[in-house]
Amino acid sequence: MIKIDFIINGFSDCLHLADDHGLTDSEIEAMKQARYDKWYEYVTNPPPVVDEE
Amino acid sequence: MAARFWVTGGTGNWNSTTNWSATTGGASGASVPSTSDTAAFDASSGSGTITLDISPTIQTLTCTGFTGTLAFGTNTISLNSTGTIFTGATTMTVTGTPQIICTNSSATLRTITPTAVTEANSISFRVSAGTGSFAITSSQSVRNLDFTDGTNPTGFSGSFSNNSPIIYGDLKASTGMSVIAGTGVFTFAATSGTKTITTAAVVFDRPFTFNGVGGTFQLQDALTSGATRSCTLTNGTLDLNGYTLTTGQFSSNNSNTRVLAFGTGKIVLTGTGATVWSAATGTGFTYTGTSRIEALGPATSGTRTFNPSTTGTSTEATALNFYINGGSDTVTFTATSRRVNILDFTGFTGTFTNSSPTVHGNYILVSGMIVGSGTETTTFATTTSQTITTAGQTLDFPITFNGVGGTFSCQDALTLGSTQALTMTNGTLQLKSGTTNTVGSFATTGTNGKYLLSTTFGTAATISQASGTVTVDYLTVQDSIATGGAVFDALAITNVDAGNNTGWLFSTTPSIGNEITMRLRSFTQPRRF
Repeated sequence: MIKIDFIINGFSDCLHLADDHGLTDSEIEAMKQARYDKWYEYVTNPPPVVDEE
Repeated sequence: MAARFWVTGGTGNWNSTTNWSATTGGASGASVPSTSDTAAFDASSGSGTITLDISPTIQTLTCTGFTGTLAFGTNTISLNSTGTIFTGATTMTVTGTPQIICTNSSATLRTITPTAVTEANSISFRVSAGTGSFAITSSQSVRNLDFTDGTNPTGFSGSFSNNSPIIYGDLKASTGMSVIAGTGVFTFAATSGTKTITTAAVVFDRPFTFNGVGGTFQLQDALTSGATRSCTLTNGTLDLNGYTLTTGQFSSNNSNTRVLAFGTGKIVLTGTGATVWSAATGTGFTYTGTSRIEALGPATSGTRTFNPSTTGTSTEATALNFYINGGSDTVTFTATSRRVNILDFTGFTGTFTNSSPTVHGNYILVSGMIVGSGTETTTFATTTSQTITTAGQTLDFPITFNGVGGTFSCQDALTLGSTQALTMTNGTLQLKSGTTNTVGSFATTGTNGKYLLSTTFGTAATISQASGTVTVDYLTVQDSIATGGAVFDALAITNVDAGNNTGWLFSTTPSIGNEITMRLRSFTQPRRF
């Protein structure tokens, strides 16, 4: 497993990739941005609270 | 599918026909359970030790009523069925590195019922496949809970149900899985070693509790929970490991030994209309790294309450940095004597109500916010240095400067309400040079020396009070213009005219002590920021 730490706009996270992930640098950068975008959307526009039993 | 029961009642190997029966308490000699069989250890299995001499794959495993020992060594048990695939027992013991792998790849619900076993007798579960739901009966405990295939970050791609597991080991999510939102609490309870939490970008919209005396719980990537969920640190060390922890609220309100290890990480609070920080009892609490608590609070109404440690249960060294960097709602600090380090409102456009925080770090207001008025005193109390930025806001509440050896450096004009007091008790107040700073009243207290300066040596700052008499003691004044209508009486011999002052009344015949103090001042000139 490969760990790739990154920080975008103060959001600090890490990608965990398989040793043979085969991803290009640009694909990895896109994954980082996607992780940030997902987090930013979640915290600024949180989904309605639905508590499932 | 056949059922197999352990019946020898004594120590034996799993992979031996002498240990298995087709019925509970029946005759031995049945085949060793295989991939299409279930295995059971029960009250008729005796209290011996079952040694896993192989890593078997079976349908399900039931241990209800078993009082013996399951010795895993380095072997594992794979369960390939659905439904309730494992039932544990608090009466049994496990040794070795106990791990059960849940391998079914269907979309059918699987449930494990490990019971509330102790940390020592907990078993690790790895859910290596499946697209359905996976559940742990609430308030029951496991060691590691791993949703990967053991090699890659993928594996289980179903949903983890809304239960309340107690985890004594690591938690590792797989990319592609989901966690059902709800109130089921993830409790981390290890009492030794460092346990890791890997979320793989999966949102855990669930409460978290860290409660293991002596345990360390370390993030391996960002942990994101929901705006209505709370993260609670009860015992142990929560190590952010440089990553971002997002939660609705954070609570650590007890006297237990507990550590928040920030490193370069931070906590982001997204809660609204609630007490988003609850840690009034600072006893037993410490932090490491650089603390950073951001409160996004994307709300336009309601009140967010911050309840940091009381001054009586904490110290300047344990005060945390708060950045209220979002929201147009109301922010309040619980009324009496709460301690913070940095208090920064950059990005906030709501109302900050009057309260009585003791602030040790930089204090930053912004022009777009509303600063409430009142009678509660804000105390600036650094023993090193801090800046104060008011951004044109009127502080319509009393303020006190009380930090022995501390320097309070105003970054712009300081304006208090017309009835509000500025009190100097300890430290050095540097008013922004070239500005006019207005107070309702200016006063000094105590017999420690204190200093009123400007931020630029040789360039005065103006202090203005409309009426009355300002009588000061033990105050050294330099680069200060006193004006506004009040009489600025610095005649007491404990005061020092250190030069470039206008409007102050100093004694024209300094005492010997005063002269000595003045000479010493040339060697002890406070730093300017």
